Amino acid sequence: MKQNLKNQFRMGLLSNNFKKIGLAISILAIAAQISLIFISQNESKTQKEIIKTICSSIFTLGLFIFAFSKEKFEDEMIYFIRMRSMALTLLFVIITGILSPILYIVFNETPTIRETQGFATTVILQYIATFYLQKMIKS
Amino acid sequence: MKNSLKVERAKLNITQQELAEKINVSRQTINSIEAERYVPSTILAIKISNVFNTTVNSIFIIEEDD
Repeated sequence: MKQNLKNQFRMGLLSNNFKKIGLAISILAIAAQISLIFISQNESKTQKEIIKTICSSIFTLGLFIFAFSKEKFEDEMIYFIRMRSMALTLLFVIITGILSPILYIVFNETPTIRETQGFATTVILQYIATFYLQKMIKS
Repeated sequence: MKNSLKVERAKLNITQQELAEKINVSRQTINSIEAERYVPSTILAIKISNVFNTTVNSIFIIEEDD
């Protein structure tokens, strides 16, 4: 079957405009979380925790949209950098997956929802950092 | 892998940006190839050689450790 270069590098990424949308969502989520400290004095602790969790999820979603949007110029070098960043992120996930249960046993703790959420955010942040760092080094 | 892209570009008197536009990649990609930080795919190497009207082998030179 004939395969052209464009199809070979197709990854099903969002268009470049989504980068701004993702970033805006993340910034708004952070702003909402910060404003929560000053606004919701009357809210109960549980309500605050729910709002915090929702804000964190929206922040992570924004980062996810940002990370998986196309660059302005999506060529084969970007594809190569993206693949390498994904491989390094996968390595990070596996190492964390191996080490964290041991650490939970050692410190006699159980993972909370916030920690799981934090892990997802860390993974995406790690991918974004690796991607842009490699892009900076290459060009 | 060594390459003589910079020399070929100088012969034709074209900038990295102009070459990038001709073969539909970013200027950063051309810069990385010239600095030997990135080895292009076969298709890109052929596209580059077509711009300079020469063969891939005369621009990209394979080394022993490649």
